[in-house]
Amino acid sequence: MKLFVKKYVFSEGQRLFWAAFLSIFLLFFLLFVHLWITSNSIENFKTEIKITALMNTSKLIYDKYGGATTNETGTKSQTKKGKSWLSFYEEESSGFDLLFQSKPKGKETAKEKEENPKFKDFSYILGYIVTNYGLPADENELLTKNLWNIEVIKGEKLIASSDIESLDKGKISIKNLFRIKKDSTENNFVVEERNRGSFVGYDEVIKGYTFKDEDLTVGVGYIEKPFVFPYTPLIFYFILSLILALIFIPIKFLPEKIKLYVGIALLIVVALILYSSYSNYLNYTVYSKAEEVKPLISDLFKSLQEKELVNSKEEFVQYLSKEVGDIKAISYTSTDGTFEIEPSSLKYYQNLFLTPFTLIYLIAFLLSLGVFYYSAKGGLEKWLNAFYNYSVVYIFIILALLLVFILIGVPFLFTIIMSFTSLSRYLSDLNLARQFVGLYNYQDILNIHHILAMIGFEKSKEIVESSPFFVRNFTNFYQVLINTFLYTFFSVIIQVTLGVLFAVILNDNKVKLRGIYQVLLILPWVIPTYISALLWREALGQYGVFKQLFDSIGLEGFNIYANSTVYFLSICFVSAWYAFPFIMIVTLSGLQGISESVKDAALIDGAGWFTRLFSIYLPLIRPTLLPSVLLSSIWTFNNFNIVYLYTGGNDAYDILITRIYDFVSRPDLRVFTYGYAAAYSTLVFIILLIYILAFARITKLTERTY
Amino acid sequence: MKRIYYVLIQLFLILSVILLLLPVLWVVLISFYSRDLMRTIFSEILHGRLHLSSLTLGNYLYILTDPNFLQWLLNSAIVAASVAFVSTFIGFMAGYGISRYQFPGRRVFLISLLVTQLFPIAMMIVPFLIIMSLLGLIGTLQGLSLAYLATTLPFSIWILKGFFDTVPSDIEEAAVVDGANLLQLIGYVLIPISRPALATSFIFSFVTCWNEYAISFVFLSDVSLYTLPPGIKSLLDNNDLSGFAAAVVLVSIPVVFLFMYIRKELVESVTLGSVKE
Repeated sequence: MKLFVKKYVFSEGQRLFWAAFLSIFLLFFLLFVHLWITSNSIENFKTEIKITALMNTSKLIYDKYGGATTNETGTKSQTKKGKSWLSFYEEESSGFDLLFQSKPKGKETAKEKEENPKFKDFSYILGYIVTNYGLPADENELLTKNLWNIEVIKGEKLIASSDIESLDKGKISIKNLFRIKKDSTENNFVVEERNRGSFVGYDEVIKGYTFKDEDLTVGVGYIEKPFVFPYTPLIFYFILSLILALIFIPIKFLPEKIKLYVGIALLIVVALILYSSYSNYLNYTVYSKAEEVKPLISDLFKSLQEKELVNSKEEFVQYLSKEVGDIKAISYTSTDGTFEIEPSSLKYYQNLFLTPFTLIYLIAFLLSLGVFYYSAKGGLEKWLNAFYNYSVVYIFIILALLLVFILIGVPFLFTIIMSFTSLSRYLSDLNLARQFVGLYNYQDILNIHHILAMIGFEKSKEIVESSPFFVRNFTNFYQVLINTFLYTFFSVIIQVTLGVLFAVILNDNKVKLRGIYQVLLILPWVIPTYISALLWREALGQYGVFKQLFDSIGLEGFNIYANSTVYFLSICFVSAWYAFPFIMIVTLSGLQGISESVKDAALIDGAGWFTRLFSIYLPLIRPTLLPSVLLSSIWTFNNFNIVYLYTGGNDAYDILITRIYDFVSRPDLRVFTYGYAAAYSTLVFIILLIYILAFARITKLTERTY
Repeated sequence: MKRIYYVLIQLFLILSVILLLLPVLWVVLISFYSRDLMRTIFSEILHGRLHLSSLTLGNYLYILTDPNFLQWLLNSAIVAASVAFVSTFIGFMAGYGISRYQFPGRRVFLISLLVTQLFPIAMMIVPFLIIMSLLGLIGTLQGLSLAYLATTLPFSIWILKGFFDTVPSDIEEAAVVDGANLLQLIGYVLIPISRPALATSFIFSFVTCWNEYAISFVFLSDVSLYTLPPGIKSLLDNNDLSGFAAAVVLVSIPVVFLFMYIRKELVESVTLGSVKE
């Protein structure tokens, strides 16, 4: 062992300088990061406001035209056509679509317009998409999204239809919009598609659609989310502060104190200049918001009034102040003929800008103070000396350290932090502080209020009754939890039984062909799990090998899906099928470690097969077997591939892991935020940790291993 | 008495092996029979009709000439090989450093590595999705490789750390005394002596990536970028049982052989790595 060399010993002045340098550096670094996040959120916020405004207009139009009476024409057209709405478009793409009815050019009066039940503006639909499903990140996401079925009426004919009341039933995709665009030119309305390069206001759109007929023009655009951060000043700041630090340390002729003060002062000045340049950017964006929205709103009102869609400003305000989806609406108040915009969400935003962000400033300040104190006490030297003494080691492990931190540590911490927020899955707003919801997600997952309401808490009862979430049934956490534990329990039982049984049999020297059996029995463990799962699903399915086998030996009517208990046990079995070879190998190696004399002694004493197994072999291999069982049970608990692919993602047989996956992968579960999914993940992690600790404690595993 | 017992044991073993491996047997059978027999071949054979004339390699030819399948194969191979290489290389360096030196932070690092072993892949998907979409790596093989690296790296470090724990440091000391620098030490001493452990780590990482379904399915939306697992699943979704069978056999054979090759080391490092320390 080498001696610990103290290579770096600082004077008091040096120590102070470096302490100040580090703390200021940290402080400003954190503030820059914060600015980066906020500036990004502001851009998104801008987009949200525009889209909300457009969306509300669409809703207005819809209410005006479409509204109440839908039945008559709907049923008539369907009988006329006799075909489902899907059949028309299904050759082209699976999805489906929008509904409009065109009006004969210039002939229709306002009254007819009102009677026309089927006018439903597609921009309303698009608006609906945006409100309910959030802003799509790009066109691809828009295209892959599963939405509702709506109807398309071409001329007199209903070529596709669905019930607008049950918007959540079918599926539509925007793919067919192109087809509709084509159709629309034959009639007297126009759907214009705008691509990248065209503008809405000052924003370049990714994809935009404009609906035009002689009455009105409505546009919906998807505006690019800018994710821009002015890096150059930050890099400049880094370099400058480093140069300063390097210049000031070696100068001998100046007194320590002067060096220190000048150095710190310079650092602060540079940082302040840079910070203020960012702040200007920030302030500009924040305070110009209301001004930007105002003309947009006024324009909308004007155009709508010209088309007699709104009669009074009050009416207009009423429409616009409605909350649509989860995007915060803007509320407007009209006084004396002019629009006074009182954007409620802007206020909300600005308030939050002050509160949690002051907290961030405070945290940054305290952190840098801590760093200052630590370095002033000589903490920096300690670290430098450690690095000097163990430089070789750190060269060896630095890559692994960094990668493990970035690839595992950061996501892990991110999950935990995220679980306290309501981070939307469209990442339209990355400012976690703005979306802080405390323990809400956990409360939601664990159904705390439902439980409290059952016990009889009045307040909880009110909350439960007022909560609108029909989807909550899906997330009955406890049921999934019990399911998971039952599944793990049965599966582990099966795999240990099979594993120990085969190990004991194969351990007997007199059994012939032991090697071949061993290799064959290891196969389930080495075949890729996703293939095993798919294979078993097919094998137990309708045309599967087991069906054929049972049919040919006279047991007709074999159906694994008939009984849910049987099906559940089959999941456990498939999972155990995958895992038992591992137990077998471990047990086998444990058994081979038992000395011959023990076996002989047992035989001479006349112990039977079972006595030998349970009183001699198992206790002897306990130390190797138990950790393996723990490990195997964790794998079973986490066995995503088998459960998900074998059941085909069936909700009824979900375990915790597959449920988390559902939150990410299934479009119909997009009501749940990423925050919710993260909270779920964190809970699963906690459960696993408790399970492991409990297992280790109960089986006294720790005594041997630590 | 004894003899009857052993005959019974043999019978039991044969029966249970057949029953347990029936799906595997079945899929191999299907892959060699023509398409029209794929649903009924097993019962046909049970009834004594072997349909020898229908034996064919057509399924394999079909799947091997399917451009999608070849693309998936290539994607999987690229991702798995690069991840395995990086993971083994970094694991080798870190495993050596951790095993040989008592440096500050060693214990924390080891325990955090252990904790990551408990962390199921599905739980990492949410943060990974967010981070990757911020970096613009979603839907790319690079992003997928990074995500895989997170799952294979801890295990590689464990395997190699465990290996270096068992090797005495005399050889290295001798090399250093003889005047070898760091690079020479690695190139001439460390890599040659740790070849078996490197192979284990490489194979394990490779096979892990080769078999991974959950992340790749969420990450990749473009069919031409699919790796094998979602690709093979999509074959089955398209009701292409023969193609599936042939693909399964082709994909499993290398994995089975590789795993058989390292199974002893694997079981040892899995149990040691997770239980010790």
